[in-house]
Amino acid sequence: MRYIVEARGLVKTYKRKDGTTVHAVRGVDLDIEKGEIFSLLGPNGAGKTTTISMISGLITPTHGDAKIGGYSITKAPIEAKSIIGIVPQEIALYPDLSARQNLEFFGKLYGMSGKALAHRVDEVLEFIDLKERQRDRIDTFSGGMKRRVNIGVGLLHKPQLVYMDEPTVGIDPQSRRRILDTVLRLRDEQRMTVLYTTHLMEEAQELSDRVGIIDHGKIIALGTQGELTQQVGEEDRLIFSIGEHVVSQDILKRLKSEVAGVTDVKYEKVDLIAIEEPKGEGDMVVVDKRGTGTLTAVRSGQTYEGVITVLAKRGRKALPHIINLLDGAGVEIQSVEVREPDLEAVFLKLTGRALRD
Amino acid sequence: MNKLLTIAQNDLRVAFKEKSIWINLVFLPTVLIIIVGLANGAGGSNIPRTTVDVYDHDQSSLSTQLLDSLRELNPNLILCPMDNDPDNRCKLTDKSLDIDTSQKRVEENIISAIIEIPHGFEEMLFRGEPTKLIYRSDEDITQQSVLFQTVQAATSRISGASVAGRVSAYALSQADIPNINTNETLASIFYQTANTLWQNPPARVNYRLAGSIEAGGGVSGFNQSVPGMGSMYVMFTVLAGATALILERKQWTLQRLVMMPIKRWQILGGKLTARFILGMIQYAVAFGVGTVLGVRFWNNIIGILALMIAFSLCMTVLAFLVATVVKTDAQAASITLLLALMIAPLGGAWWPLEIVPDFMKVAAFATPMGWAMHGYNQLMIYGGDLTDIVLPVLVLLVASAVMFGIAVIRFKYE
Repeated sequence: MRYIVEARGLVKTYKRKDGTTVHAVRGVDLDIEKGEIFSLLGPNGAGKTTTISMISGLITPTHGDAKIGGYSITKAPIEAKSIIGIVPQEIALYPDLSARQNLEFFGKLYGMSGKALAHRVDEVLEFIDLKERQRDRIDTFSGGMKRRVNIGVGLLHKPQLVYMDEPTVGIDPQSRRRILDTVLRLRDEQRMTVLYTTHLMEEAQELSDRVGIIDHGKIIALGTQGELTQQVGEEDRLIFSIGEHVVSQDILKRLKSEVAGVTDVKYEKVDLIAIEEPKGEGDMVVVDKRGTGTLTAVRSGQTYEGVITVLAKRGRKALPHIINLLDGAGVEIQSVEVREPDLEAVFLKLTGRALRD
Repeated sequence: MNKLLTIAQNDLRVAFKEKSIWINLVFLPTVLIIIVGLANGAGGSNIPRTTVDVYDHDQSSLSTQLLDSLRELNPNLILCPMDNDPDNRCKLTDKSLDIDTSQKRVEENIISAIIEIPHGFEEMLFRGEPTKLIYRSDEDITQQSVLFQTVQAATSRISGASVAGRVSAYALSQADIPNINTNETLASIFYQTANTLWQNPPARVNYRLAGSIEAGGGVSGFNQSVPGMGSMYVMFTVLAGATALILERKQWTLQRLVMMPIKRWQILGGKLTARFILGMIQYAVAFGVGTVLGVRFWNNIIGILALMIAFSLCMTVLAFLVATVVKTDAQAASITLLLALMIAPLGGAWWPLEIVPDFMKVAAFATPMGWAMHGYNQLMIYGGDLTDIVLPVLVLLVASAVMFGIAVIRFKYE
């Protein structure tokens, strides 16, 4: 059997109280190969969690079905669920119990007991590097440590397939790095298949063997990173950070019409989240660009950053012309980044929106 | 089943990790059992004794039997002056007792009534001639009092025995049997036999006086407060299950369980079993405290257990139902607190239902607490047996089944 997940025509619709119908997932077909890391990439509300909830048996599809290791999730749910290890986006643990007690409880529900359970719990604690803190209550743990126990529970019964639903949400960059390494180890050391959902393009790019891009409840692109970026051609992305400067539509139109190779121009304001206290007015502080994990330093008091994104063929050649034009228009450029075609560009190309939108 | 028990065990462990549980499970119920028990008259009978002035002008064996019957039928009765004690519970003065004095005592609410047994009472009764017992009281004649009913019951017993004696004597005299005694002697013999038989009549009304002290029972306010406060805290403890269930959904442990290879009924069964067990533990604590305070219930333990199980089950299912109605744990906590604080007094957990107005007595039976307390009172105050709690237990079980049906349809795991 080549595929461990075979989903066909998954549809989920909800009725709201006001009588309107919400189409959360609109017909998802998905095949995930054994031993690969497959990322489901899409913005918040795209249908990633609903899709994973149907595949894991939490919610029943309105239409369609998914086979896990050959077992239908709707017709043979117990057999199908035995193959899956779940790592929900939420910290689905008992905060009053210790890490070990949580692992033991869920281990028992996976049918383990006695010495075998104790041994497996030890192995998992070792794997998530929390052996030292195993007797401590979950509510005394940091966000990153809780995430690791959350992952540990999903690995207890040595599943063939692990679902990880945005496991890096709301944690610091260091913990995030640790979790991403853990995901790679699951594939490389434990030979597990990983279905990973994220709205962060960087994570999908780093981890995935294949990526499915989901938007408005439909998979709009599917393949390896190379296959996907080929869809947007040879365009580079030039990203200009311009502080709190506001750019007129006129300048954007001029960039597109006057600079050779430019195919698209976009201006957006990115919220900045300070991750350190400023020492004094006007000092530089480190900020996170709206939870993207991208850190930058700005003057304290700045709440957003203006970003001009330019799609251009042979971007490096177009760069001096763009800088000249912006300089001439009085726009103060603070930094420039040149990106080769990536999943963000694919998403932009396919939907006309950035992943963050 | 193993998985169900594992979930139940884990839920109990989580519940007992919360240190404040000991306050709700042991400390507060104990304190309230004592306070409410004392307020309801613990340490002595909570029901005031009924004092009656008696004028026995006949002084016959039959009149003595009548007075004994009164005492037997209503142990709360004090017949003055014959039952007076060194503490002067008849509240007699130096002035000798006569009808006028007694009349005044009725008006001043010192006594409840006056009973006069006329001269020749026995003789006339044996002769089959009508005789009248005089009962004086200022009570409302449209609402017969317990005392009046007691006097009627005792009189009926003696009248019945007398009639039976006379009928038998007449029948024998008509049978033309030689060497037979006179009718009066026969009537006396038959009366004695009938009266003896009356003490254990073939058909009887299950006549109980609210709050009366059952033979060998020893009722105190604790007989009210132990099941009352116990049941109220069972409500608090078990209904908190609604909040716990909502919290589990909020923290996603419930969804995680659903995504594991476990059947949904096992998950739900485990959650409900844990709450049910907590309810039974709560009852065990309350009745344990009751045992220390001298409440005797072991002779009715099967009935008490049946009521405990039925009520805990009903509350467990109610908690489940609440969890299907509310959206947040804060809402669940508010609703369960409101429910408990409304149902407990309405259902008679705080005070005996005998003292509340009639419409509240009816309203009590619209609550599970009302049925449970009715059952407990039957067993622990009125000296009832298993047959007296069949209906309360049945009502609680049917209510549980109906609520469970609704809750199962409405409940959402995700």
